[in-house]
Amino acid sequence: MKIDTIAFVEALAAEMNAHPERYHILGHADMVGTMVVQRAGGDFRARVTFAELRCDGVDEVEAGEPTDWSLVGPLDAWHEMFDDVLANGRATGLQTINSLALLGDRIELVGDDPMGLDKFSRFNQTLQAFLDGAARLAVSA
Amino acid sequence: MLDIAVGSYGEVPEHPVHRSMAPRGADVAPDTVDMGYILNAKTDVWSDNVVELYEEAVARQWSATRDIPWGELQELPDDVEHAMCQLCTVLTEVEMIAADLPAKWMWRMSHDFIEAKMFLCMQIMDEARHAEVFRKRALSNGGGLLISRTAPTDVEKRILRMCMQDEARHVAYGTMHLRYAIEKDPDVAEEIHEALDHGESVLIDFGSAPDISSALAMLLPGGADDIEKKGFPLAQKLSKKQLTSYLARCERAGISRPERTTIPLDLLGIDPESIRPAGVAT
Repeated sequence: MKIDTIAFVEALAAEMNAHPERYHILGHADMVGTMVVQRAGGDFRARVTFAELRCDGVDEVEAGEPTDWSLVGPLDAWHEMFDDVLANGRATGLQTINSLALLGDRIELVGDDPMGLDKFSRFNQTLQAFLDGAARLAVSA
Repeated sequence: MLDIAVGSYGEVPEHPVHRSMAPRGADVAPDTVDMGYILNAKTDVWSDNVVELYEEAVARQWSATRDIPWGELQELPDDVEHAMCQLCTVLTEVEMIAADLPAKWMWRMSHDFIEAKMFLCMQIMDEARHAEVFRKRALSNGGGLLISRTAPTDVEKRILRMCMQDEARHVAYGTMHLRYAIEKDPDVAEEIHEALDHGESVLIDFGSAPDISSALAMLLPGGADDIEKKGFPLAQKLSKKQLTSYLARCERAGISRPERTTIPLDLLGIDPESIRPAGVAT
């Protein structure tokens, strides 16, 4: 499954929704974010909507759709991150989404509203667990 | 708490008519003891997201013992371990201050603002847990407490990530409380500016103190070898990000700081226009 497809993000959502026990201990998360994969031929933008212990919505959106935050990076950066998840069962080292966003040189956290950006931090562990779900999917470039 | 905020139980008065320990919504006998609260205006404590943040805090509690994989802690090079212990020492200090401050105000707040008081209780618990986790980390790997965002291994990364979740919640309350207070009484903006003038001065002194800045510059590249070439530039980049983020939150709260701040924006490469997001009411 290619990571710059809506099917992949939907699969991450399905993985999360099938295992609420993994998220229960982390608490509810209510936020809407966009994962932006920059690639030749046009960027891929997936909006993900989290509500309580579920990822309630995944859809491909155009640029400019308002969300709490966006994570923007080139395809190879996203791929490195998911490769690390696959290799280790979860993101490690500098490939955790928090480390990537903190340094901001490969995948950047952007948003117009600091309160929206705060949600990336407030629900970071949930987002990390969501992305780590790729370890249980078959992922390819 | 959201579900039971119905009818008169859910109505938070602008100015409570009594200063007793009675819970909001209860009948209050005329001879009920006056507790002497001094924060009796809703604008003193309230934010429109405080109930939601309290619920979030309750749901996202974690344990500094159970939820950190201490068994995976690895032996580190001496320079990195030393820097990590220095960072943990500083963080332990500031976390306890962050618990002291809300505690100082809580007992002065009217019980009618129970949700705000409960949120501050959670903040104090959060800060206690942070002090615990940083103290444990400093003492658990052959280092120790030293002179009183970066992490060498996945254990420290998890510690910092969990703490960040809590701190972001505290910032969300603070930002929206300031906004609420200024919307209701624009005159308080000047008081807040004055507090921030002082706070920024402390922040700059604190951030540039050699013990913490050198520890960060050591940890960012992963050791002493690259401290000059990579460590200090990365630390400056983080400072820029941190201060840009702080100024943007001030804007969101309705406190515009670029014209007033003494933070050296030019030196740090911060463009004042970049912190004025569209749609911010000031």
